[in-house]
Amino acid sequence: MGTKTFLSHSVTAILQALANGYQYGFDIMDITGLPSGTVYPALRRLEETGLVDSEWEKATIAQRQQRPPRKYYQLTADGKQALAEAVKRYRLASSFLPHSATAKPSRQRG
Amino acid sequence: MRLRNRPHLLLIKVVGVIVPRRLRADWKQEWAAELQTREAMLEDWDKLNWTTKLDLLRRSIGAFRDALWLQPRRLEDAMFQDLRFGVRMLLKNKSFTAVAVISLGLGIGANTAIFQLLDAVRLRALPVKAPNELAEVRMLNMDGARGGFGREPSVNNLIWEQIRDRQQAFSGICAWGADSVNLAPGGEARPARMLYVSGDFFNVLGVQPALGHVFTNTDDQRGCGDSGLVISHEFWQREYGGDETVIGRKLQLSDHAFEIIGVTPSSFFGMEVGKSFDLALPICAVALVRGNNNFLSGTMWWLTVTGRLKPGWSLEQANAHTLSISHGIFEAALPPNYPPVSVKDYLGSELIAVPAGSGVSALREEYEQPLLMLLAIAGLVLLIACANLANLLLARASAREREFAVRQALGASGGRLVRQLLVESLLLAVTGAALGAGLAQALSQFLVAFLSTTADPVFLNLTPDWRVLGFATGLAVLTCLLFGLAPAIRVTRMEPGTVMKSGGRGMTAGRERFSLRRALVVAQVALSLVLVAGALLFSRSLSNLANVHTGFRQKDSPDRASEFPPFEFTERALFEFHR
Repeated sequence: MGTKTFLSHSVTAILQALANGYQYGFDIMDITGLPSGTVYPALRRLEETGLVDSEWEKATIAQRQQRPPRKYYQLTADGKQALAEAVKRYRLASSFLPHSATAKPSRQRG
Repeated sequence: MRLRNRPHLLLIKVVGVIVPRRLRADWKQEWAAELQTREAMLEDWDKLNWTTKLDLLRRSIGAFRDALWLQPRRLEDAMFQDLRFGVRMLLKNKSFTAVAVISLGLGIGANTAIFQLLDAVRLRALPVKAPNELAEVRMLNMDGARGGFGREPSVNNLIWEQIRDRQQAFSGICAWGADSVNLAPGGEARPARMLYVSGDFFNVLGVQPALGHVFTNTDDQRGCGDSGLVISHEFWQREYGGDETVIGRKLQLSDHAFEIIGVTPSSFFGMEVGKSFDLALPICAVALVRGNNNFLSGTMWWLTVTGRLKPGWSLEQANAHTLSISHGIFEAALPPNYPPVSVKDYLGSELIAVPAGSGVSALREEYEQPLLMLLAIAGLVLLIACANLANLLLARASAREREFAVRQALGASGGRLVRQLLVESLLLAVTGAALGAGLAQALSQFLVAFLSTTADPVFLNLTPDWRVLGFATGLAVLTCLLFGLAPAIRVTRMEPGTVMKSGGRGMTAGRERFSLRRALVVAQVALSLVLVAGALLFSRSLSNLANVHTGFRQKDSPDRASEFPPFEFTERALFEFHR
């Protein structure tokens, strides 16, 4: 599912950022340099096609920080496969994708 | 949370309004959480510098695109539930829907057809470059004009030549005159519409040839020989089947063969709305085709002068300028042997400049008033259709009272029910308008065909433009409000308990509920009576006109136009023929 669809450069970058552990919309913007008007619709489309799924963080964490709970995104098995194929197709991928060296330690999300 | 100091959070709140309701809460929470986390990570808001604040704002602006992206999900929203339910209800009662759509379609169709004609003769700009810069230079009145007349108001060739040489207000100026010419060498005449144009005509109007080239100033000099013939796109398609090798071929007109040098683009029909042209020749060539100099001397009034205003010149300035040079022009353009009684009037004539962006049209002058009247009558017809529909819908709403009472009892708000009814009305109006728009095309073409004769064909560009489509859409919305509002408002005044208790026989309620329907019927009958009386008078006049006794037997008399080239007949023979 979804693996046959053509992934654009920006969508590949977003998937790579997710794979590297950047799970929140704003973190993905920071690391990919894409504007919010691109990242969010892309995430919603990826979620629709089943390459990404999302969950709300635990209310206790949000309460402690006095803000609403955040939504985090992660790759599904299909998403991982699609990313691997896209990276193969874009030979110059390393020049624009977030490197695995920039991988973020997994965040606490309760 | 102090939204006032947090423009990015305020923006999310505002943009959230357009997010489909089902997703709105989650959507707002996601954006607010991200923005607040970012804010907390940075520092206290008041201590942030402007760059960081602007960055947060820039990110929140992206939410607008995100919200737009979610719009298709609206399909699952309440509004579309209303729409789906409305379609189901209309399909359930097919005969009602058919009657409503057909009566609306006829009403809207008649209105749109007449508006389309008005648009074509009155409102449309000429298909030339920057038509709003064009102005016509014409005689203030034709009192001093003596001789033969092509169209009025017009000028003669001598006046045109003086205007061309003396004017300062226009960056380019041209003249044109229409005539008809016989294409057949003998026997039955084959008339073609001829346009005589000054050399700069196509250049001033910015009309680029579709094929070959068009005239220049050097082609239009007194005493010119064959300086070529330009044909219209329509003539090219009709007579030559769009053959591209047409350039260089000869076409015989009278006893002179003209070489075809160019084809005009398909959009260009000439300067006269309601007419098109087949062939164009320079003005000087009229002497060759006609075999005499009458059109070039001052005795024929047949030319229309059109100029393109110089940049920075207003129409008022151009008008003042042409008025001021009038005297000199008429002095210099006084034809020899002019009837002495008219010389004073001729010399006292004045020239004015009027807007020419929508061309000139005999049709416009002739039919503008009748068309406006027809539009008013068609408007009345539509009004009757609306009253009729409102009545039908009221009756239907009474029959559906229980349905609404149940919905209200289950918690549907009055607004929701009104919306449901208005959506149903809108569906009817839109379907009716679509039918009407299709009908309008056929109707307006029929009207044009009705005005056209073989000798005087009417050509109007009837492709729908934004004005016609806007008119039809406006009518649809207006009719929807006219016939949909009354039943919708009635529903909100309903007491669900009373209706439920009456056991479905909602029709037994007081007399007050029928007063509106009675008023509608009275209005319908009154309006219909006016229209029927008017229609009877009209049709009576039409049948009288059609049966006017012309003094000869019209039945079995063929309508035939023949032309006899002069060299084939002696004067004696012609005399014998006409005797």
